[in-house]
Amino acid sequence: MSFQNPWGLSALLLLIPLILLYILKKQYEDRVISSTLLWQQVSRELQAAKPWQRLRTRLLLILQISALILFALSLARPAYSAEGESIYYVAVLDTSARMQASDVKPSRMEAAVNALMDFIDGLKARDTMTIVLAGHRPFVLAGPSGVKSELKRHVRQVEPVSGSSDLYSAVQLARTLLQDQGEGAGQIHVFSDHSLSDSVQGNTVFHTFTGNGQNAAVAHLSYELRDGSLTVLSRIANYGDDRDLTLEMKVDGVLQNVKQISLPAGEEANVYWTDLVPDSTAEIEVSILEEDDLMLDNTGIIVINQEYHGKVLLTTERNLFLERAVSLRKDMELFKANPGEILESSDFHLYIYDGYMPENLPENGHIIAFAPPSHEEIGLVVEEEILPEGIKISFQSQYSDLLQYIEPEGYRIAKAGKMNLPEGFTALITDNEGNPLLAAGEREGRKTALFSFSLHDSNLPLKPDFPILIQNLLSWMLPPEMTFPGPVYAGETVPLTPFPDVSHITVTSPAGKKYRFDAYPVPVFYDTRDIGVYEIVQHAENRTYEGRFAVSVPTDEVSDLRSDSPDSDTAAREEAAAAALPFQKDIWMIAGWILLLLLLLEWQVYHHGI
Amino acid sequence: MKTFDPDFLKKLERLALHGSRLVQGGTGGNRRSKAKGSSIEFSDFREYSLGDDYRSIDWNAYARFERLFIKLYMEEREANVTVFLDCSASMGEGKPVKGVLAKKLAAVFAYIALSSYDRVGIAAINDKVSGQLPYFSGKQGFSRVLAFLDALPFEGRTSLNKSIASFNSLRGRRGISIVLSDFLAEDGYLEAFKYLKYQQQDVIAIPILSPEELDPPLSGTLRLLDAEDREGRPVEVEITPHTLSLYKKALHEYFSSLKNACMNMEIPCIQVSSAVSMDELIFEKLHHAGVIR
Repeated sequence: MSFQNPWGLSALLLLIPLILLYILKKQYEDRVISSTLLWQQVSRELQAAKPWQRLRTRLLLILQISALILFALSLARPAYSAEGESIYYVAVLDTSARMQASDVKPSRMEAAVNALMDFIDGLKARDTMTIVLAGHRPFVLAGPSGVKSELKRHVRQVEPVSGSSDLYSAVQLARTLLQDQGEGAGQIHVFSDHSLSDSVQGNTVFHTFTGNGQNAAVAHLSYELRDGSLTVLSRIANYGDDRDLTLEMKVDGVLQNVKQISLPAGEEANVYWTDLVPDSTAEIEVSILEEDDLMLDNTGIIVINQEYHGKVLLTTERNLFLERAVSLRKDMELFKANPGEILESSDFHLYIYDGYMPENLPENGHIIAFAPPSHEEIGLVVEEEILPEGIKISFQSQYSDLLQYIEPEGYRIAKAGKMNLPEGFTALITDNEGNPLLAAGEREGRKTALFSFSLHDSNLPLKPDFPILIQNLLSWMLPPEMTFPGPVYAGETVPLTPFPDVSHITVTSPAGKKYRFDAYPVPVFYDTRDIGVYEIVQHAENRTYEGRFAVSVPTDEVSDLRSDSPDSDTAAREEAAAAALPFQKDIWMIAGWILLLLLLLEWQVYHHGI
Repeated sequence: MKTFDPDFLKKLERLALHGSRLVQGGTGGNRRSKAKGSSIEFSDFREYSLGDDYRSIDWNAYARFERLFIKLYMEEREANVTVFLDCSASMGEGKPVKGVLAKKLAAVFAYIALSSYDRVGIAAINDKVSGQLPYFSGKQGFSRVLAFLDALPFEGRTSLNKSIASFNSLRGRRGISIVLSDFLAEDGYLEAFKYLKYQQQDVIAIPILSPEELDPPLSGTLRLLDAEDREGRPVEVEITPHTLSLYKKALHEYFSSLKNACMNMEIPCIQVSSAVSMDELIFEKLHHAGVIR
């Protein structure tokens, strides 16, 4: 015997006022009536039956106390287990976008949730359960707990995500949880629309909810800006039977074009949308109008990023290699100046100093310096000249991305300055003796890269790696205008790389929810559950930078509803699942019936005596 | 008292009290008397005695029997109608107040009697005769009745036996006595009835109870105080459906006993609620009971 809801026993506290009422009810209230003649006769009769009367009063009290105890017991939901052994269950609930498919009524998700609820109802008194949600990242939703109401409350709040799910990792997490629990029987029950063939083990049971869903999806959207014209490519995939599809294309929410295509079963088709005016276009939406079993992927949205020019000041006497390498970035405006030249504008995003550094650095902007002298503001001390021998690369630092695609073989450096790096700087390239040749660091939002040598004293500009290295540095310092490489899928994280002078960043979701981040340390936006366009605003002191990105459904992973259709062993797995269902009998109904009987008895005694 | 509008009084004029016995003595009235007199309806003969009206001598009988006989005629005489009105404190209770109905009934009976040329007297009683309106006749004196009734307070304890036995104005003259009370007296009512019967009264008993007495709206644990003796021994009782049923049983037994006693003594007994309307009471209950015709 155990209690499913031990808090229900707190109703026993009502015994105190009940007994108090019995004590207090003997306080007589005076009432004047015209004559007590007849009441005296009643009193005599009551006196005559006093022993019985006392018994009746006590019986009433006993009946009421018994009724209250049974009421508390009913609330506490007593239950007894058919089996003595307790089992630890880990339930894995798949929340991927595919679970929203309505080929299982009302939806795969609701069917899975209902099955999980039934499963929880069947838990024995001493059984415990942990619920793991398989979303983009698996996480523990609830437990371990044996309180059914608590577990069910958590399950009721689960909503499917718009992205894919990592069911494999979720099952691995469930296994880890099971192992952490130590001894005793344990089972993993997975509620999903597909099973993992390599995860079927003795203690893992898959409850699959899948039909033969018909679905078409906007699988991909991309655009090309060329010669002042905008062309959008949409790829439409048919994951069902042969069908005709009607496509509509909206520009900034306004319907522009409608096309009809015929797609054989399992085929994809590229549909081009041309002759669009790029200047005024912010976002393009392509939708399939026909209804199918998964509507989430019937619309694709893409954000058109207009050209943006970062401002770079190159201060050098003459360095063609550097100039060319920087100019490769089309979204940058390159300005050149001679060392010591005073410029009217200091509003640059990046300063590149070649063999020179001003005493007072500009207020904002990142810095790349070649063969810099000692500099107090940076905290750099350059000692004597060294003749570096050999090249070593450190891939272990946080800046290792800067050395992506760099193969430093064959580098020759004639001479360099011996740099004592400021605090917070990391040497990325050193000579054999560990003298830093390239160091990177970030202080108060200003990213700085220091080359201890002059490009003129090395063969680095002649190497194919050189422009790559410069581009890596530029990308690090000036991320290309908050554009996001490739599509962002629901559930993925988006790093919000701030511009140098930005203090904070706000993100507004398609649902209008606002998020605010400090610019440093570099924030990462996690909450990409909604499909649609997210707006980013980077707030600097005197201006804002605005950008947008679209979150779409990972159609490759979620749109093919047939990919895990029931196979031959699903029935067997279901059978195994049913056999593995725990058995426990609630007996609160019995207590409830006895309570009702007691109340009837009490009513009888109260009205008619014993 | 403003209970009586002219229409109502007119209705009352058409009614008369009905006593089962013939009244005796007194002056000529509207009621048949056992006194044989000089009216038209022949009743009997009796031998002449000194002082008899010699005009009544039946000379034909004298011729046949040579003795003087006088003719006796059924003479209509006025009746003494006595209203015993319980004015104890218990009659001042109830919603509506029982005593108010009792006073109205007393006025009604008095008016009917006065309209029938009967003599009316009212005795206010509790454990004694606390007030008395002496016998009088003539409808023009009805205002005296109203003034008398209006001035009566409800106080003291009920003792029908003591108070009625102490009323000595009946003097053995036949008449009609109406007892208006709740009859809830510790010493009962039998002695009072016996006394009235001894005084050759046609008795009419009208027990008046309030709705609260017929169906007490009580609940909880109560200390019941008697309106007539608040300092006396209270009754402590927990009001439950069970105790209420016991009360109703006691009420039923008490008034069944009263009705049985009345039946044995040929006393009409009409139990009424203080909530009943006057029209219903007079023109239905009392009329159907044969008290008023």
